[in-house]
Amino acid sequence: MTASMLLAIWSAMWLLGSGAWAAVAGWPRRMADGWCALGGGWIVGAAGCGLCVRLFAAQSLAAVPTRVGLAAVVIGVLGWVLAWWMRSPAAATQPAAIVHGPRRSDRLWMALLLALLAWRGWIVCGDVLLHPALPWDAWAVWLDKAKAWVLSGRIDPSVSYEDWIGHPVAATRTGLAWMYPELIPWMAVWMAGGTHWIEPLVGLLWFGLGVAVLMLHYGQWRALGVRPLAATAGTYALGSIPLLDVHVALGGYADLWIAAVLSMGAHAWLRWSCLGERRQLGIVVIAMALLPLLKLEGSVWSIILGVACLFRALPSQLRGRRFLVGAGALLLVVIACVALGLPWTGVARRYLDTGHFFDFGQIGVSSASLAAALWAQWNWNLLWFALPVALWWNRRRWLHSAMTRRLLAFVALPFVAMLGLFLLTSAARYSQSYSAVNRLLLQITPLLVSVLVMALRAPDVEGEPAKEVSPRVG
Amino acid sequence: MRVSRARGAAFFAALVVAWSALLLLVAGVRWNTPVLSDGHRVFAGARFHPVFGQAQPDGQRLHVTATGEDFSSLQTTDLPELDATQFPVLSYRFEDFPGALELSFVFRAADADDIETISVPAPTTSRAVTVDLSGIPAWKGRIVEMGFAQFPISQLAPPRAAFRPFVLTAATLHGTSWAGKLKAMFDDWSARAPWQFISISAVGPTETGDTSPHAWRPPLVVAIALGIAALLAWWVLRLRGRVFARFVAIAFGLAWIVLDLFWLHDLGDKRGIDRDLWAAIPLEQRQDHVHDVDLIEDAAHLKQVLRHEPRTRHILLNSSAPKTSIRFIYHAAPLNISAANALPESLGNGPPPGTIIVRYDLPNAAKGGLLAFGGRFLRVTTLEEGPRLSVYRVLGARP
Repeated sequence: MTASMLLAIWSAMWLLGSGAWAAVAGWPRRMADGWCALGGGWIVGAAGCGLCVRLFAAQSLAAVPTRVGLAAVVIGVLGWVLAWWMRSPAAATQPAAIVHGPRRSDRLWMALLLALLAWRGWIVCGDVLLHPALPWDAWAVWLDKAKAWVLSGRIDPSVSYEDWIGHPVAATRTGLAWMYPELIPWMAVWMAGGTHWIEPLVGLLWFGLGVAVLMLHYGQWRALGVRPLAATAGTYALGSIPLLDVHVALGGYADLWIAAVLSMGAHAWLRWSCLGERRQLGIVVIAMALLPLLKLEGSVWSIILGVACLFRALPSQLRGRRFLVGAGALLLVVIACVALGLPWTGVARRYLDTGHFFDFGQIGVSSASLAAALWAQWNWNLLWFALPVALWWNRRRWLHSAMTRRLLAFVALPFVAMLGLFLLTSAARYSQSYSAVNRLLLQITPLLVSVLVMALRAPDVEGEPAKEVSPRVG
Repeated sequence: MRVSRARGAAFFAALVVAWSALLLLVAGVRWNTPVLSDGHRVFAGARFHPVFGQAQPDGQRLHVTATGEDFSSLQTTDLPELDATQFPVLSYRFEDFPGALELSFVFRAADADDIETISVPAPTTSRAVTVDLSGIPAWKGRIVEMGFAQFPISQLAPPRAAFRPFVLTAATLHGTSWAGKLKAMFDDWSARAPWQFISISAVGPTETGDTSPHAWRPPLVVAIALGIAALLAWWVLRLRGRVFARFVAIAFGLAWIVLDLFWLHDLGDKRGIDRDLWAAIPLEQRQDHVHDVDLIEDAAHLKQVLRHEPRTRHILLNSSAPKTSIRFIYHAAPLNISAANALPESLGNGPPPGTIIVRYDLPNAAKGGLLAFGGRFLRVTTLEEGPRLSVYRVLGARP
């Protein structure tokens, strides 16, 4: 593959995603929205190209670069045209912190933090291009389908072992992860476009995701009224989380994708529910659609995003009972998923399937392992020390911020559920092996950093309305 | 808010004392540990002799030139029955130590049946690396033999490409001391840590199955140091309100950056190891240079054996271990292959005729056109039968 081919693949992906983002979220008038369109656009673009691979080239992967590339360009251009055509005259709510650029004294710190991020990017990108797929699930689960498809030239459907073994010759495949969502393998096929499977190039998908996540969060924080220095510091903090860097450098896992898309949806939900930016609801819908396509647990996050939207969209007469309504909706959706036998419920059963749900006998060992995972390992830098200190110290300020309270509630409820899962149930064994608990925590890490940024936000959040804004739907 | 010069000096002095005490505590220094070691024994590299691999003395040093058949090497020396408790700190120096090798320290106690092996930091320069052995349960009694073993980094390095000649300069056993324990702690923190499978779930080393004792990880130590600084700022400097909050925030920020610099150094080391392994190989061939390159070769041979089969032919794989199966399947792409599991009830007689069965790294199970498979016998034709790889086509169940 030539450098120009690589450039073409990345450009098409970015054009598709940024066009779709602009069409949904609106023409980016402010720098903050520009950063969102760049970062979020890359994520949506990668997913979009993956979907195009499945839709337009599944039977002939040799045609991926032309068919999918062309589709990406057409969709991207149409998206930008649509965004231009539908652009609004001015933003309804314009936080003052967005309007003001960085202070002169802040620029030095911002330059230092960006230099540290750039240094990391240089190291990680070089490493990604050096090594083949390394971690276990990369070759056992997420990339094995893609490699087989690329080398055979077509996407064969995956079926259960029982269905597959019944026929000596058939255009179906099976494997450990036959029932897993296939968006990541489709994206890997796109990244391998036109080659006979070059793993370092496929690994660039995760490097691009890492950069996109940082751009997106900088943009979202600026759009939420965070000052440039604080947004840059938050971006640096997020980019310097060691376990996140590992997922960028090693690639091949779905957890960073879940983290990125979940955070994308949650911040869009925040902008819709707190700033009344109704077009952000479109981003929430995109996130809800993508999450189940990435990983089975994504369905759970998608349901949580949906319930959060319902929670905020309740008519005023039901507001007093919104927790009850939210819990009821959650319960109904889960019952429906179990009744329909959706694959994620099978994973949940596997976590808990030891004959009994609660297992209090493991609390001591599991608590020690969990504490070691949070505070005694390299994985999180100082995040798990800084977060409780910041929340406690600044409690008076952030308790008066509806935005921070909502974000915290959005993260805290699933986090408490995770704690319960790993401490009180038969899934405790996973917290003792570090294999599941750290990666599950990684899925909410961008949101945790966001809580830190919002909790430490300067008091002059002029953009945040003094009175709660009712979100507008439609 | 202005802080008097006296309070500033007291704060600074208290901080130095408290942080020093913390470092000594984390390093494992006890109240009766001497500041400097009162004795040491130096063992020049030339004193060691190769057990596996090849090596020649070069003046006072040992020049290790080749590995043994399993790509590992070992150099040992006899000791004059050293008392382990008198010499619990080890330091060693190598030159040109290859980035793709792991290093272990091996020793034998007089009353032990077997040698003990512990993983120790591989040197990245020619400077001495120090390890505190006092936490190793087996480091007791009289030590009669010690040495160093080197082998390709597991899960990462292609065995044949990992080794390059290097020099064992010297090893030294020291008496316990503050200096030795602190040096061991810093060398543990800055030890090179190559990528491993578990890296994606936890950044090592204690989470990666390494059972040798390690000092607390820097994030925890730094967080405690921050807590001490905040307490002293409250009590000694009497900082309050926004000034105190600003002090804590700046301290947290700087500490975060310091830890990040540690981590960036680690990332740089990881990239350095990967550069040693793959930089000289063309981009599209790097995936063929992995730790289980023998599986790649056998998978390529299987593809050659089955080259005339339709690409939709279903292939069942039996192998010696689950990991072997998964890796073999990955390397065998695009073959339509799956690990053999229990058959469904509808296939009580076995897989349908035409199915290919591959046995890898297992004893021979076929005789006279019959293959033992999942508790039954199948009639098969043999397509390939080798020491590691055997391939059969199912004709039907035994009548």
